[in-house]
Amino acid sequence: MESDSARIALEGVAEVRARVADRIVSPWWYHYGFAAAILLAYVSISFRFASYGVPFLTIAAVGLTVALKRTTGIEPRAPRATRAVVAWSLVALALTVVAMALEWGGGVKGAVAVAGVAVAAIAVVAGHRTDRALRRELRDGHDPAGL
Amino acid sequence: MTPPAFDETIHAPIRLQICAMLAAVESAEFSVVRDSLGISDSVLSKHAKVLQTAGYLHLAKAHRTTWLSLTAPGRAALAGHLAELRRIAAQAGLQG
Repeated sequence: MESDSARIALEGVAEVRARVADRIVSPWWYHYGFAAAILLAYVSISFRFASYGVPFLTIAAVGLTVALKRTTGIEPRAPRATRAVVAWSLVALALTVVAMALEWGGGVKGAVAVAGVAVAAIAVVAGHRTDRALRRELRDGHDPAGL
Repeated sequence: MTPPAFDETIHAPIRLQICAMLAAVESAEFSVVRDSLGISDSVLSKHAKVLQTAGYLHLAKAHRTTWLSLTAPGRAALAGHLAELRRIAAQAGLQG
């Protein structure tokens, strides 16, 4: 095989990755829908309706993820972007634990609802940042085989 | 790091593009792969069949759609093939 053919083949691979990256754009409703579901769930928990809030958030999260996969036709794979999601989730979890301790341990009414606003905002900001990280990771990936 | 290994099955240009696209994702819907690569249904089906027969591609049908994904051997074969392409391209750079 000639070196020119090898170079052209490698350029083709990079081009395909860039095309995939361009396709990975979450629709506007995904991040905002997720944030709205979080907000509703936290408010319901804060007002002692946890038995509605938690299942609602679970169903909303699963439904939005399935809808996203069907809309884009792509199930992404990006280890670095996934690690960023985990890091943002830990921040949200810590915030939630503190809010629960304040509301149920310290008697601060509405603390969980306020945390819900913060976690919803985190979901929107982190969602957009993760989308960008995902596209960057796909474009700049040094290992197109994903190994 | 995967050792360089030329793979005849993957080397065909369209199959290399299919593999490169699927390597970047967990799975992709048939029409997305077809549209992204600008090929017809029949061409994609034909090459997908070759990759599937080689054990490199997994096809899953769900809700009237077909999802394509690379198998672990497929990812390993692609990694080896790309390493070989890089080796050949780099060798030419050293000679020139």
